[in-house]
Amino acid sequence: MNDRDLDLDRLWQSAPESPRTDKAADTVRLMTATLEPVRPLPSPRSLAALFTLFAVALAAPAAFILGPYALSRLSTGDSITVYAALAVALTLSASALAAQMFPAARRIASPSVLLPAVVLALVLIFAALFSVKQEHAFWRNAWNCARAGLEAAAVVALAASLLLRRGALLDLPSTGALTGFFAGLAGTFMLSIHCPDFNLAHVLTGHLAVAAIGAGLGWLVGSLAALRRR
Amino acid sequence: MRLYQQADPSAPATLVSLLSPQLLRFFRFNAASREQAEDLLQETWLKIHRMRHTWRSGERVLPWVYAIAHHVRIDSYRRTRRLASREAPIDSVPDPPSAQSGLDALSFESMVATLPDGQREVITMLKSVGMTVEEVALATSSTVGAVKLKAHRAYERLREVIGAPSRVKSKEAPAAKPKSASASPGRHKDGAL
Repeated sequence: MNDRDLDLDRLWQSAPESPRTDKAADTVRLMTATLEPVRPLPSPRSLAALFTLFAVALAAPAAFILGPYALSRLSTGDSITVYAALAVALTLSASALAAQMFPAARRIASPSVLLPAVVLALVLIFAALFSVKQEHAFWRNAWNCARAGLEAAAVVALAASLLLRRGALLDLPSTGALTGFFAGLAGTFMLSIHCPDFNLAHVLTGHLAVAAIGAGLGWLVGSLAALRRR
Repeated sequence: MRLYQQADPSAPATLVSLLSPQLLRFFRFNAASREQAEDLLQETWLKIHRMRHTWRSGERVLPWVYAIAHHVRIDSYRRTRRLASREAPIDSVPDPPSAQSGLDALSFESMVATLPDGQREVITMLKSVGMTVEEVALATSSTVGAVKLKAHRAYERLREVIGAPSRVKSKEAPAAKPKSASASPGRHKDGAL
């Protein structure tokens, strides 16, 4: 076997293929028939900022309507840590969500890496700040918080999906999971302003779980949409 | 591409004639038949047409186009798999080799066919389209490291296939004959084996 046999470049060059002319002409005809000027989407960074704005603009007023009880109970240091961590998490997931709208966009990480990493980081931060305490009616309280968080998340997800529809959504399950996660984080953010229960177990099951449930539900919706599209 | 976004009537024909041969080759090496590859090519163009507003001036066109082609291929693969699990097989009509494809093309096609899906796709983008590793990573929503690893494994696999001509000859391509008996793998640069 010599060098010539192993040269892939040469082999590629030797396998030229042209599309069928009638089919190519048909394709061009279909494209030209609906050819209209289009305005390119804003940059992924601008869209990420818009997503974050949606989340804050919808979640913060909801928290203030329900009562910002957590704000007055948290120390300044804890407040800064909690809200800064949630702001970073929201920004990261908004950037990942905006990248889903553009084919071949640069991504911070794939959703399968980003989502668990963000959740883990938040768990560690919350575990460093809060401790587990005995709590009366633990599951009922957790469910009440989770339900309120999911309601806020549903509104954010709806608003985000209106913007997402403008993009090129190629991977629907991933986009669904990211949308649900992002909206769920907005719900967590709302609860972290509203709920004064700082029992770690409650924060994880009642607040942070909203983001995880959101991601799961979003993935399910995305997968069903992908099945329908096929 | 900018003219295409501005609805220049000549832009679709120019783009189609410029990129279709490469895209067809990409699908040809990643699809079952020529007919299927042609269908996927048309589906890709129609998708590109619908998504043209998501290309941003200054961005590279090839990764953008191949990211769409990558997903069209994946969707088609899943669709075919789903249908295959429901439908009873009928006698398949073999795809006749095109008049242009000679001995080398046939042997190379059969060699590439021995690669796993992901490796085949990466090697096609690198070798057929001439994309850089970074561009392939963008098109496949992967990392540069993962693309390099897939390409490396594909080269290794192809080396094995070329190094075992009897296997290729009996299973895949009767026309593929080794031209010399040297065991040296030849060049080892990124561009060629």
